[in-house]
Amino acid sequence: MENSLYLVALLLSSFLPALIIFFLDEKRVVLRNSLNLLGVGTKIALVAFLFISLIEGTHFRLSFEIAQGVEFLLKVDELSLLFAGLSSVLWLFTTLYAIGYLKKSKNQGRFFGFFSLCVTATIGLCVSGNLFTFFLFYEFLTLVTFPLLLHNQDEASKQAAISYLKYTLFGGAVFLLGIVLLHSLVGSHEFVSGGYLQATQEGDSLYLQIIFVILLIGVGVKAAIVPLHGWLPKAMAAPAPVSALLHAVAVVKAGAFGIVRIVYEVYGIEFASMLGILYILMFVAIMTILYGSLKALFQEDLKKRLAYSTISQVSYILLGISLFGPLGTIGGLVHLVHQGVMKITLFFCAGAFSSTYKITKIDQMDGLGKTMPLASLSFTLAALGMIGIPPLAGFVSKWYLGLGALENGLWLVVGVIGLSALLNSAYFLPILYRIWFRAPLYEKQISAKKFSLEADPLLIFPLLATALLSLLLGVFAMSDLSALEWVKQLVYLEYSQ
Amino acid sequence: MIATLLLLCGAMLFSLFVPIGSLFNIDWFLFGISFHVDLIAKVFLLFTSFVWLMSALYAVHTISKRERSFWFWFFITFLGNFGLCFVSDVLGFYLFFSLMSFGAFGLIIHEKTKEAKEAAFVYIKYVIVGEVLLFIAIVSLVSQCGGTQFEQITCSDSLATLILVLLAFGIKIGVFFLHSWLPLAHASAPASASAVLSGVMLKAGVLGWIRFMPFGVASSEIAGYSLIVLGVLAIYGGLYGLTQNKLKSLLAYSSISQMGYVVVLFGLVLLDTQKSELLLYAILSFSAHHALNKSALFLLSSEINKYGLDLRKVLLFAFFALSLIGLPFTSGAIAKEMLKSGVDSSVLLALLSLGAVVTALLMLKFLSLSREIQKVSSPLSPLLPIFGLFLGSLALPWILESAGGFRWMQVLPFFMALGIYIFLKKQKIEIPLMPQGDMLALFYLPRQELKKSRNIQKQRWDFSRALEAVFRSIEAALSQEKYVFLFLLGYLLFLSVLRFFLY
Repeated sequence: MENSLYLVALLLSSFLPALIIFFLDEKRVVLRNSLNLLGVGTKIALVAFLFISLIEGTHFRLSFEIAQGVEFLLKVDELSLLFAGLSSVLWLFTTLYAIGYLKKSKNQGRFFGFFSLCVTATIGLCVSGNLFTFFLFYEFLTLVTFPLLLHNQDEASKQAAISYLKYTLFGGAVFLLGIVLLHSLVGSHEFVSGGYLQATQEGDSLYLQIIFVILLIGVGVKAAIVPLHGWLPKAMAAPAPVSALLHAVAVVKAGAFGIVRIVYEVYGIEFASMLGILYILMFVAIMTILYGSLKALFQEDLKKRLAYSTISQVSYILLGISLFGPLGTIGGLVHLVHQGVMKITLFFCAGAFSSTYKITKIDQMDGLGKTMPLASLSFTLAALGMIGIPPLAGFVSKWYLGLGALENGLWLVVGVIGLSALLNSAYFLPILYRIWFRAPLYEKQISAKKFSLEADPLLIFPLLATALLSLLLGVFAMSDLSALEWVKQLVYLEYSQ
Repeated sequence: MIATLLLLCGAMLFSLFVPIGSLFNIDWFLFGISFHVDLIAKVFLLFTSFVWLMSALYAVHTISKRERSFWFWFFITFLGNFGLCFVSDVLGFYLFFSLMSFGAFGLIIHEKTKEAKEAAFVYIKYVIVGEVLLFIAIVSLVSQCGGTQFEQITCSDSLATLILVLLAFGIKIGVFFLHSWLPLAHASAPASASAVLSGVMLKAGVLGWIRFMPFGVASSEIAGYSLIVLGVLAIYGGLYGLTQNKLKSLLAYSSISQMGYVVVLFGLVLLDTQKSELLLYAILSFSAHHALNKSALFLLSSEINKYGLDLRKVLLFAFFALSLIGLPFTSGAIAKEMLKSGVDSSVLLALLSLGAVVTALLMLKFLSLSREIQKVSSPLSPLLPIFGLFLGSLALPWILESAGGFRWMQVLPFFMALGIYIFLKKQKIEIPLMPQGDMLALFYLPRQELKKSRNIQKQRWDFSRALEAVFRSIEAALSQEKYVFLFLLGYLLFLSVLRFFLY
């Protein structure tokens, strides 16, 4: 129980605003927004403080026993801060964006309340110290995302929300089964760098392999690995900020983060590679990458195409985890951050296009470069980053993934990365061509104001910021403040055991 | 526009005065980018910035539509091309190379005609495949050698990596069977862009080969012989060019056959590491020579297209064309002498001379085509950049400090070509116009014409026509990128299977 107050504060910084917002009147826009932003500010400040303290060597822990041998445990380590930092910074931009996007929408109080709860769940996932706590927040996340998907209250979003619920409840149940099996075998342990399963020396390898597959299915539903990805494209019926949140901040990332925890801190990477479960993961990742990219090619709807792109890109993280050796791990973990930043930019742009010109289909995007230059520029940066053009962030992750694959002599994986880059360009470059080289379909909206942006400034500012971030994360990859440096520290810990 | 011109002038001054051996480092950018001006870099810098500057001056006079977008892409492409000349690590090279390749898309599509769009789409597909191959090659080089500097990556002895490098840059050079994008792109870009595309951007691929191959360190027989065969096959490009009726496509096909020489040289380097230094000088001087003359010809072709052939242009054209063929006292003669000094097989020498004959034929065809264009009085100012290139080309033999001499072998191809050409004219044999055809049709069709003219017409199954149809379909397949890529994939697969069985 060291410094447990900070952990509680970290969770409350988004939980309390959510509670207050639920009881606020719908018309108190200013109060609601300022409460939200206050929560975001506190959270970012706290995460920054935790970063600094962790570097100085302070520990943060909060634990109490719920039942015999089952412990509720929150703790802060390098891995949790990687994800917490990403979520809280992107939460700031998403909140700003959502305020702009939903200006005329109904039920804003409900939306922002659950929005904050969603972030609470995600932060809870970050600081969970063992599988049981992780599971609690994992299910909490499922429940609070459901109303967000339903926000539009039309037939499509109803379908989407129900499908999401089916998938994730199934995943949750399987996840629980895996946890119970593991618990009956070795008891509950906290996450530890290098894993704890090898040390306990219980169970034969086949049993542990089966448990891994069960856990993978459980967490993989949220990470949208291939046979379990069906809910994600449907969920595109929700408003743009929700998609952004699903893809970059909370849900999909939570799944990927869960797999990171399981492989590195439950099984331990060396033990996992001895058991051969890394090959299972690699197979799943490769299938997902290729399938997602191929499906994305045939989507006419911009957001659907982005959704399939997410399916494929998130599996880069899994691919990196499945490559034994520091380089592959760096590639996978750094992609957790880079993919988040780039994908959120793409969704912000898609939302800005649809809210300003009602553009949802790709063939309506002709000439947007002239009518919405800033959003188009951001879209271009993020899309090129996804393809992996230097010096953007995506290149850095692809570089390490490639090196990691060759470190193990896996030419096949390098081939898959190359093929996926080809497919990525095949579905992003035609969009860029339409944006920049075709004549505009729509007249530019001329505003009466003397100085005006191409759309609502609250839509434009966040997407510019995240686009800039995806450029800076690449350009300054070697500086001390970059995600890459932090990941390198982390990987050093995982492999030094 | 002004920014681009200023940058170009600055780059020119930099190239002229930067001393060999200077180092620059940008540590904060990506994984750190370092620049090192060695002899190779200096040569490339000089001709690259000179040709870009002259093309830009020409563009000032000729680009009137969508100026801003043209100059933007011009700027981007130049930045990439300039940077890759003297960067000294693989990632920096990759960065600048992609900048250049993607920027050129904007230049090719500039006219926005149907042809330009199709050409640009074909081009960008090739570019992306090249980029991916290059990425894999770089990752494997760095993974094998553990460093990103050019000096460090020569350790690799893996054939697969070498083939990846050869293919990745081979697309840019326009090696035979990867060349289909080249005539399309070069013929439909604006003249000032095709001049740099054909003159200097092809050479970026050459530089890529120099830098990424284990140049003069390791040898590889398979790759070496493949390159020599492909280089000789490039003469086909020149022959096929004879069937074209647009000035710029003639020149583009000529580029393919000219780059064939360079490909052969690289093949020799891979066979025999002893001679690599000699061959390097040959490659460098040939690249510089071809850059100056070919870009000048492209600029000139656009002038001729607009205003017809007058005396000034005939003189300029004669000079550049004769340099390209390699007549005595021109830069071409020097470059070809250096080239031949590195080759000791007489068969290869004869084939290279055949290449010169084809070039000469192409130039004669160019002349006859341009004589058909109606003359209009032309302004002088667009000719000035071409004149600048003329001075550069004139000065090249002195810069190379090589004693030029008169050899019969230098003149012979030209007169042979002249003879063939006059013969064809006398016999009234028209070379058919072929958008897509094949090399063998060139040999069969004239014979059919001969038969017709002598009234020997027998009704029987025509073997030649059937063969012609077969080759036509092969060419049609070759010019569609998907078949090329499939073939490429098959080739890679074949190699890996081969490797599997060998070891």
